[in-house]
Amino acid sequence: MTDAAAARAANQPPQKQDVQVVIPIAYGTQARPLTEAERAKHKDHTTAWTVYVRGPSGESLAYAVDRVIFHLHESIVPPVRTIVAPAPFEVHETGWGEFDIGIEVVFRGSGAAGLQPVKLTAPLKLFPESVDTAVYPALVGLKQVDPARPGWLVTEKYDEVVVSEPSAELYDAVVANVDRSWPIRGTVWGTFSNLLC
Amino acid sequence: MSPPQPPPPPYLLDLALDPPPALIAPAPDAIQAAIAQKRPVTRWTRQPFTAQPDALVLHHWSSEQTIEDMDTDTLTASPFTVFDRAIDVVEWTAADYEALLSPLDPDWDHADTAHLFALVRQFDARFPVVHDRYAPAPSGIERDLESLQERYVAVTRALLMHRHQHSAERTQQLAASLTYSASADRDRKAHVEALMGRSADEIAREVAAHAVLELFNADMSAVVRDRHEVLARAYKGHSPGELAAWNTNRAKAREQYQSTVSASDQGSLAIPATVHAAVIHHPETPLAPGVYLRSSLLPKLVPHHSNIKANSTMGRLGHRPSDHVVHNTPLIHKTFTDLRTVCVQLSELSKLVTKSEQELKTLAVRAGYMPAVLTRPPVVIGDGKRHGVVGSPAPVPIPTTTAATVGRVKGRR
Repeated sequence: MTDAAAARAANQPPQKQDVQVVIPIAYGTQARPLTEAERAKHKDHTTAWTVYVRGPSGESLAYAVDRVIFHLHESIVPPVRTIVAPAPFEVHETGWGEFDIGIEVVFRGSGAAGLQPVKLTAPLKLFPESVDTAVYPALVGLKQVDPARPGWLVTEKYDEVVVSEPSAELYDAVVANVDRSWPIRGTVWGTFSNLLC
Repeated sequence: MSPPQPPPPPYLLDLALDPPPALIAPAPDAIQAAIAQKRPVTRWTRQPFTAQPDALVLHHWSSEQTIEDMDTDTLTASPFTVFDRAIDVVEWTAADYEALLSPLDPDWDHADTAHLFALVRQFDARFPVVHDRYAPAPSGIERDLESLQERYVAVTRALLMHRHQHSAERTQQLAASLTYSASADRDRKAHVEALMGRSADEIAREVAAHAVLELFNADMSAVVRDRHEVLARAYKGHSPGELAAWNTNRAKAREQYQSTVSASDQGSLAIPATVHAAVIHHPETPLAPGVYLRSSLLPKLVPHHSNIKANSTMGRLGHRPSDHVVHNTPLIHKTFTDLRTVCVQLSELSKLVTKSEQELKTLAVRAGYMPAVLTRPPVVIGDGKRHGVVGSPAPVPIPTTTAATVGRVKGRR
């Protein structure tokens, strides 16, 4: 074994062999136009938006995730926001421009030589797309409005994080909280941004 | 004094013949040295020879060195008999004419054809001479050089193909390959006359236009390249031609898709209830220790030229290589991968089908079922219009292979 692998084996608690752990996540952005009062407070801003990482049924991922780092646009101060568990992994902001938000999800049990953080990209969409459904036929029927979140323009993706040979800590956390995520009860809303990124 | 001529354009100079060989006069010393060598003088004698087939005896000078080298058999023959070649023109009887040749061309009758062939035999198929001597024809119809050649080739081809229909395949192919296109020949001659008949002013204008065209092409290639790159970045994996067609069919595609989707009112993409368990012991696809995103485990659709056909098949289903799978569940990934595999197989099969159809056409042409119509496109000069003969025949469409014809091709072979 290489030195790094030996160090990893020495530092980490024993890994579970021949096991994969699947953690479903839904991440994305939601945006709504500002009210008149809010507009007066924030000059030049048009929309209030939120970027989030949570489970597909809306539950918190704090059982498996240690912290989430959001990389926003440089013009937003501060551009790098770290949200530590158990706070909801969300950032609420107001603004006028669309950009891609980088998200790093750091799982529990990621020591110095442990798991790498998972890197995601969530495009921030503030305005509904004027979609030509003949050019994007897959979009016919998709709506960017979640009935549970009226008034918000939702741009969300569903993905699964597969951890191969997880540490015992992560394994226990996932097993204890399986009922939170599986089976998936909520509806995850499709996105237009898939097609343009 | 005539006004100075403009220099000939470069491409005409390229057509010029090779420069004449440089005349190097030997130096006087060299001549003296050659004389001093004292080479033996060869004697030349006047030799008789007979030219076949008559018994006329002619004489010619040949050196004794040559006579010693030759054997006695060739002594009486002239060294120039190698040039005495005869064209073997096909011979046909009246019965042959009735059976094979009369249906070929209604404009020709037996007398005219016989007259033509007699001239061809007499003048060794030198058609300018044959055409000169053709008039007056027995029927009185005046024909041009290309028509005479056309008739000769058609008659020869028909006779040879009939006579060799049971011969080796190679012979049949050779017979079937005898073709002549009178219209192409007329076009070609008209082009040459037009080319040679240009005035100096016209040539100068053409050279200027050619220079402008070169500049234009240089610019256009850059523009086309940039446009191709822009379109390729926007819609990866699809050719710009297909993209342009897709844009023009936008309205049709919209109607078609809306009619299929309106039947099922899909308000959302809900996760299917059957998902894999959260904890998988002894997974089927083992991964190295680490963290993976399900979406990264899906093989990407690479916009490579070998994938273009498979990508376009998937594009017709509404998916583009730049589209990511929205819901990354194992079931959806498996379905997507299967779809992708099927599209790749479909593209390979369609290539095989095209190739097989081509081979079938080639075999059918070889078997003589389909005529191999060869027409050269005319050379376009100047105004870009065709300089052809009015009423050139339209190209003959190649008949497609049907069940009825396949059996016939098999029978001939």
